[in-house]
This record gives sequence, structure tokens and C-alpha cells, in this order.
Amino acid sequence: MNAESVLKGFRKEFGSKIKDITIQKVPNSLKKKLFAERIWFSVGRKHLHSAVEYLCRTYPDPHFAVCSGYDTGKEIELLYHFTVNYGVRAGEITITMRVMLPKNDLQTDTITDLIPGAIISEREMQEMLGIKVKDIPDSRRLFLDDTFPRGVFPWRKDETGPDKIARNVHAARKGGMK
Amino acid sequence: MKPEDNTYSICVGPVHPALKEPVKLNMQIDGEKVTGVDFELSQVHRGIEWAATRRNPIQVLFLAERICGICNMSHMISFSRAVESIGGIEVPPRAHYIRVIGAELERIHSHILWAGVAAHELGFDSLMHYTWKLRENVLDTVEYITGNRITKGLITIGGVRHDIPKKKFPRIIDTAQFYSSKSVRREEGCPERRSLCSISGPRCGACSS
Repeated sequence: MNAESVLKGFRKEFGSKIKDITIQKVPNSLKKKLFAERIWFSVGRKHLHSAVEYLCRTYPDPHFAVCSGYDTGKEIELLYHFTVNYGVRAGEITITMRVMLPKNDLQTDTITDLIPGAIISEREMQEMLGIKVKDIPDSRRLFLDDTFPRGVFPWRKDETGPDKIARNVHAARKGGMK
Repeated sequence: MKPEDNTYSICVGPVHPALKEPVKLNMQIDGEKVTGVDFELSQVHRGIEWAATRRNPIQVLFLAERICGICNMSHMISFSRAVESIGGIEVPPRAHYIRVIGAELERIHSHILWAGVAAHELGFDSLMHYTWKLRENVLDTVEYITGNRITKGLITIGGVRHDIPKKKFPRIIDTAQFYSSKSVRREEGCPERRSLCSISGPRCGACSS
């Protein structure tokens, strides 16, 4: 199994629903004989659940590392990082699914019905980026304390970000030195 | 009577003598069996990822090192490898070797530390002190190479921050031999292994090998 064959399966199943495909080959050893392969592609949020379902169906126990998120300005980018062949030396293939969510409709489907452990990441995305995950079994806060103000999302870079409540250490130090 | 009727809940934390770090665990107990657990993590969230977005990569490197004191090298390597991968930065072979030496020394001290903690959790504190005494050798070697025992600051983006000169090689070899010798494993590491095995049964059999 290599990255091409994994991607071929995805292409066959989803066709033009997956876009912006990139394959990276990263040397895994000093002599550059072994490589780690990484696949990146974008998928619409409507098809995210079926893409993860296909992954779980095709490969035994795909490893879900984390879902990372980034505020790009008008949209929020979610990156679901999976690994197939997990733990096999120089055989791991990392699959990263990119989902773009427009800021006026921050909703995505849960994947906890397929991978129960994804709830940690999904709860984190909810509190850190203000995303609403549909059908999430537990929507409480995870890392943020209950006393943290509502409607402030630490990873956002717009007006809902934490800049108003954060103390700028550098500016404070500069002021103190005057 | 339904089995649910026998359960009761025990709340441990956020600060508790049995916990190394703050977490609140709300456990459902049925007799001796834990049937469910709910946890709260929010006590130690430091916002490192938020702080990292407001600093330059070299500053973040040292921030990443402080994610965890025991395994700081792994976080530093992960972060610098991510930056190198994004920027297409080539790392020289010697730097790769020095990184591996640093990471392996860290692996030795980290495993011995947790062996000691496991003994401590069993209530066998004298074994914890023996294992932690054993750990001193590798920590001293790390200090000899890098100047610090724990937060080494050995790695930078694109390589390492300083070389290991040839005169320091024998000490590293001595340390490696010290930990690979059987006498350390059998006698110093686990002097009372029979009593440990008798305390906790066959599950602890691994310590006698």
C-alpha cells in the first residue's frame, strides 16, 4: 500500500468531491531510502462524514491524531489528521482532510459515531473556534474553565478573539521601563 | 436489584495526593470495578498554542520545550521538524546524530522515572528511590553534554545549538554501557523484585526479567 493507491480509492469513491490533492514524500531516514508519505486534500463538509466512513471501512483502525483548526480570515479551516498503517516503520501514510467553514455558518458533522475518541478534538474545536458540531454527544467545555467568558474563542483572530481580555506582556513590560 | 443500583461515585481531584497533576475525575464505582469516568481538564490549560501564534519560531521552540519537563526533547524535535518541513530546510547529518543522542538519553531517564513512579503508586517507595538513584547517571551525562539536566535546549530549527566535542564521547559511551549492563538491570534497578512480585502478583513479572 502506498499513498497513490490510498488516493486512488478515495478518487474512485468520491470523484470530484475531493479537491486540492497534494502528496508529500518526506525522507524518514538519514540515507533517504525510507520515506513517509502524506496526503492532503480538501473535502466539503457535506462529504466529511462519508469520507471518514470510507476510511474506517477500507482500512482497519485508522488512527485519528487530532483535528486542528485555523482562522484564515473569512473562513475557518479544520484539518482532520488520520494515519493508516499506524505504527508500521516507514509504512505510515498520513491523510489530512481539510474542511473549510464560512464564518457565517460554522457547522460541521460529528465523526464520533465512527471514531468515539474524536470527541476530545470536537469539544476543543467548539470552545476554541466557536464551531457548532452537530449531534455531538457531549458539548461541555473541555480545556477552558467554566469561568472563562462566553462568546470569546481563543483561537479566533477576529472580534470574537481573546485580545480584549488578554494582557499584552510585551507592551506592559515596555510601559514599565519608561 | 439492577447492577446500576450498586454503583456509587468517587470524585478525585482537582488536587489530590494521588494525582501528579491537576485533573478532576468523577468515577462511577461498582464494588471494586470502575464502570465509568468523567473528567475535567481545565485546571492546567496554559494556552501554549495561543501564545505560540504571537511569537516567532525561535521563541516558540523554547515554549514547545516547556510543554512537558520530562519529554521536552520530543516536543522540540516535533516543532523544529514541522518548521523544517514547511520551509524545506535541510538538517546536516551530524545534527541528526546529535538529536538522536539527546533523544535517546532523554528516553532512558524518562523510562526510569516512570518505573519509579509506578513503584511509588504501588506503595513501594524504597524501589522508587532506587530507580531514581539509577536515573542520576544519565541526568549527569545530559548535564555534561548540554549544561542542563532537564530543559536541555539542544535543538534549533535546522540543526542543533551546539556540537558534542570528541572529548565528551567516552562519558556517553560509559553511560550507555552502564544502562545496558545486566547487573544494573537485575541488582541496582530492582533490588527487592521478589517482594515486589509477591505484592502485586504475576502482572509485575516483567520486572524480574
